Amino acid sequence: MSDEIHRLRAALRDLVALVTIPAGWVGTEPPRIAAGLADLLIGALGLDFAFVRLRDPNDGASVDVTRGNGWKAVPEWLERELPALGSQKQIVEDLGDDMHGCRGLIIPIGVDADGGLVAAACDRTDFPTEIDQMLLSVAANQAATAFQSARLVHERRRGEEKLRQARDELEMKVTERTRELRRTGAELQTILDASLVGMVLIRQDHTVQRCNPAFERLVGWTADEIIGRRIPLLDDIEERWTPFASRVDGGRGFSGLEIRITRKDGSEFDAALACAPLADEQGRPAGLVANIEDISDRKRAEEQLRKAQAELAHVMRVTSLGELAASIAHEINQPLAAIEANAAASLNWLGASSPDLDLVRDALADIVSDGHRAGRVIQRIRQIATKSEPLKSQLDLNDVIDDVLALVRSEVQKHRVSVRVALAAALPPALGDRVQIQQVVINLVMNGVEAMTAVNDRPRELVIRSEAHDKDQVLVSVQDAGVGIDPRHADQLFDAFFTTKPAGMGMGLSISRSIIEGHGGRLWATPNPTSGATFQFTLPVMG
Amino acid sequence: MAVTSPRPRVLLVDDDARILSAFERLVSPWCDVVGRVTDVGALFDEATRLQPDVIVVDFFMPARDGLETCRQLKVVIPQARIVVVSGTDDASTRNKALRAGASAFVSKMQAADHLVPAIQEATAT
Repeated sequence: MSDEIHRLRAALRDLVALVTIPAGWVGTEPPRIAAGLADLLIGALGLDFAFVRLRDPNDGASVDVTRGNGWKAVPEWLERELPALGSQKQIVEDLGDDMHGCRGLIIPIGVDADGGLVAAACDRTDFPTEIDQMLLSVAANQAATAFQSARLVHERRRGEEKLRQARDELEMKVTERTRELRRTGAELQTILDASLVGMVLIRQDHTVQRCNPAFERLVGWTADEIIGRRIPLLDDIEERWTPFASRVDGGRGFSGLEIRITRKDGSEFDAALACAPLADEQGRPAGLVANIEDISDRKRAEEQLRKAQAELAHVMRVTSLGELAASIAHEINQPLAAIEANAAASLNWLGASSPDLDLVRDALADIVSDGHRAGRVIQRIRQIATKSEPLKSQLDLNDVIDDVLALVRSEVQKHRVSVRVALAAALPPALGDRVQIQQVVINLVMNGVEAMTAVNDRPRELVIRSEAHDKDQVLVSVQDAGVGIDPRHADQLFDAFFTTKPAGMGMGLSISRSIIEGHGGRLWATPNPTSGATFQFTLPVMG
Repeated sequence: MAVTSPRPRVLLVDDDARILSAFERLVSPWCDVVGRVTDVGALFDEATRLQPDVIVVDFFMPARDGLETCRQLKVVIPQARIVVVSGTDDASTRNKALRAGASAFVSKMQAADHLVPAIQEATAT
């Protein structure tokens, strides 16, 4: 009885040791837990051999520890018997080798030993008693629990480590990105500060978000005065932008628009405007950035050039009038001669004893008509000679051609040139300056006439045509039967100061082309299949 | 007004029909205008057909050299007198016309006063 009590006391002591000691294993590495358990089995429970295998059921990672010299063949035994072991503990009767006659005990941990196992051996004849089995089971389970805890702690630490690494990486990236943004921001600021183009960022509510020094200089406001506020010029920009923004697709901007901008002091200047939309983080419209360039100097230069061109065109018109003086004189003399003859005839008839009044009436009617005819010629000359600003209006090109022919008729006849006109009956009206287009037609007709001066082997015929061209243009062509275009000079025909005429200035075709192009049309020349050349120009239809 | 006899038969040639009308009214008290030609291409046929005493012709007609016209008229109808009228009143044109066989040269601007006497002088010689 006292032995029994003694054994129970010893078993209780061992059990307490087993239950309390594993608390020290918590947080330690799996190999140390396995070694601790094996040492406990040998030392505290007085066994002769212990084999501990702890295994993580999740990933299969395992740790093996052996204590004592007996049952060396346990790994081979396990290799052989483990698949059939199941979840039941097993007593091995004969261990062979050094422990011949001893019995061993295998205790699986978890289902099918997926948490490992404990193998123990002892030379006591009663091994394994129920108490041995109980103690070993408790020990094994305690170890398995500690192992799992250790794995969890390990996993958690690994997770924490990964998290820390990720956080460090993120912090590094953020630092790097921030540095990059600062650098980009500084570069952008330098660009904005150094730019000669005025830049202003305008919010959706039409207030200024930011602007650069060039903008301040252009408009006369400082950034401090206008940031967060509306200024009148924004209305100018918005006015241009709004209708455009409704049409643009994909957030593209526009450039090259010319507007007048009002400064702080109320003065105005010509500016080229380029705008691009701004978007917020979600891609919604957040305003626009406007680039403004002062183009006053360019506009002034353009205006001066335009005036110089107009001046030159006027000089050329007057020059061509001078060249046509004889022809024009003829066109006026003709009706005047008729007037004088009719007047003299009328006087004669009225002096007769029985005047033929019908005849006198006819003569007087012709006098009135010829007076008008001479007046119209003078009016045409005045139009051409008058120095006036170009004025584009609805233009019947057939009328223009008729007017020109009335002035050059005599000159054409003097050169023994016959003119054939083929004018389209329902020619759509063009948009142009009458005087300038007349000048072009005069140039082309006189060029054609002069090109035929040396022609004696074929009729000197000039064909003037008008017709609708494409769907929105009218075309006038002047075809001569002259010397044609020398291929060597084809590229220079329209160059200023290029001429093949002994007394020519080389400005006629050059000015004609700039006039036509200034009207949005085109002037070109082509050699005819047989002889001579055809000069033709197009003008946009009014509409 | 004194109407001399016989009345010369006159062919008027000018590309401007209004000038022809005015000249016809001017000369008709003294002359018989037998024809008016505006198209110089038809001139020689008309002259041959009408056999006028006097041809009053514009020196500057379209596509036709006045000098050549006068010479040809002298060939086609040698007996007719030619009175050249011209809008250009310069010595060179006048001399050219007279050398080409014209009996008289009249500036159009002076036709009101000089055309009838020129026709009369031409037919008197």
